[in-house]
Amino acid sequence: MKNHFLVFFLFSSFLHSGIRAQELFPNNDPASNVGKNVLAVRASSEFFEDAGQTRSFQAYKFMFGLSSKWMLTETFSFSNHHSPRLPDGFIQHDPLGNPYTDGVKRGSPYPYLFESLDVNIKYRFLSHDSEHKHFRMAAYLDLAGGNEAHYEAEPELIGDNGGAGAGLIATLLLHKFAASINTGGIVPSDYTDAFSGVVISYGKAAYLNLSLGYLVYPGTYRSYNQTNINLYAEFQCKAYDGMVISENGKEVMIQNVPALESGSYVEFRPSVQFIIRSNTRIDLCVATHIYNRSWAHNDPAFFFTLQQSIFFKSKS
Amino acid sequence: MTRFLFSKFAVLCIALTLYLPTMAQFSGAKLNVVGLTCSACSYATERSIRQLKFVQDVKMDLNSNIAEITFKPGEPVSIDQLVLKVYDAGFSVGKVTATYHFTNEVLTGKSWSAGSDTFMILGTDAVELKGDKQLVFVADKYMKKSEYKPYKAYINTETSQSKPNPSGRLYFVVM
Repeated sequence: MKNHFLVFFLFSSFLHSGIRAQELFPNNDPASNVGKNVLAVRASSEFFEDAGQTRSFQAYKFMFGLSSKWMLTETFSFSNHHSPRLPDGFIQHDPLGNPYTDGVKRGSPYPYLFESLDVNIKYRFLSHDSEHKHFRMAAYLDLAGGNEAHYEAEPELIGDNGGAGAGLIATLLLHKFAASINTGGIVPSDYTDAFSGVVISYGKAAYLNLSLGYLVYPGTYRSYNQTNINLYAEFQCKAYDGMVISENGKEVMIQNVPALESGSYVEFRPSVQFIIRSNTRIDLCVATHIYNRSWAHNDPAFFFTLQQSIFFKSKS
Repeated sequence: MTRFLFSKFAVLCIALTLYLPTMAQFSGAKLNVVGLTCSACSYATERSIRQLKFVQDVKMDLNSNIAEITFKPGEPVSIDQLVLKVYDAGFSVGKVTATYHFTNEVLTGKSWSAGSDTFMILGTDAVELKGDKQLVFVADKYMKKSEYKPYKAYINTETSQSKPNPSGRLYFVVM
């Protein structure tokens, strides 16, 4: 109920105030890219409690403007979300020797490990720019490498899974009101444990994310040194198939484990952002579910992001 | 030997005349940068423009997003490169105005040459090429599409018929 009031408040603010918006969304990329020969470096952290364990996830993102329309992004991620191999007891056997699983005990301690490398290429194919307005669209492709023992059906290319993904982004900036829709799909690769012969096929996923943002300070710009304060409301909607597990070619029965089955959820992510000296960006965000839940993280999850741009000189 | 050196020098001078872009007639320019609102975007645009070696200073109005650019005296200026730097930063240009200092330019029909570039005047019958004048550039990527539309057919015809210096550029301007 509290969440609904917050959503209502933010929408009302967008509609009724003489607002300025920003499209530097903390959780979703806008259709715009960083400029040509600009490298934006972003360090993001996510924390949540998992039955007595503090789960920590860090992503280091390097975004480089190849041209005004093409951007290449590489993301390296680390976390203590997974064990190096499937934990003992994940696959059990009934008296007849048939494999089954009742999931992983929540709150097990895991080491902090490298997870995956995600490479994203984005192309801005539509730009209608005018004074303090634009409508832009972009398409992107993701390729991720990684072979984590991920114990949830929900796939995530930055962190949990290897695989491929693609999507479309449409971003509107209208009299300083910014809104963006990011929609796409994920086809994760299988996890293979050569030692035990277990293969996990994760569910394919489709997502639609909505981002809204506005600038609350300053009202009027006087210099680059003024700290900007932006507020954002983002909604992450995702649906995914259930996972299929096999052991040495034999299907593993999943015994009523929601985290391993198909699902869908809507998550609300309000954020506050500080932009210092028009370059250094700090985002503080919290994620809370408003419809169903993600089993890949618990409620609430906290996010902290730091970003800085480096401007390289190009030949002129 | 002296004759040989003199002829080499003459060839060099001619080559320089042909290849140098517009020399020093521009003292500054104003660019309306469009498609942005935030100061971080203005900052990225300013950084992009400052990379040009003929740019001395940039003053960006963060509320109107008009970039006031001063050029280095004596440096060849390319208005095309200036506009390209805005696009490189990820934004667009709504209007380009530059201050041109006329000295001994001669008007041939509706155009004059400066270095390797040619400037053609649009929509004015009598112009005195004297002192400082404000030139508003008319081109596809230099202004709003709706504002460019009335000029489009004429510019396409003139561009296809003209034979500018191969190393130069034919600019269309309103004075």
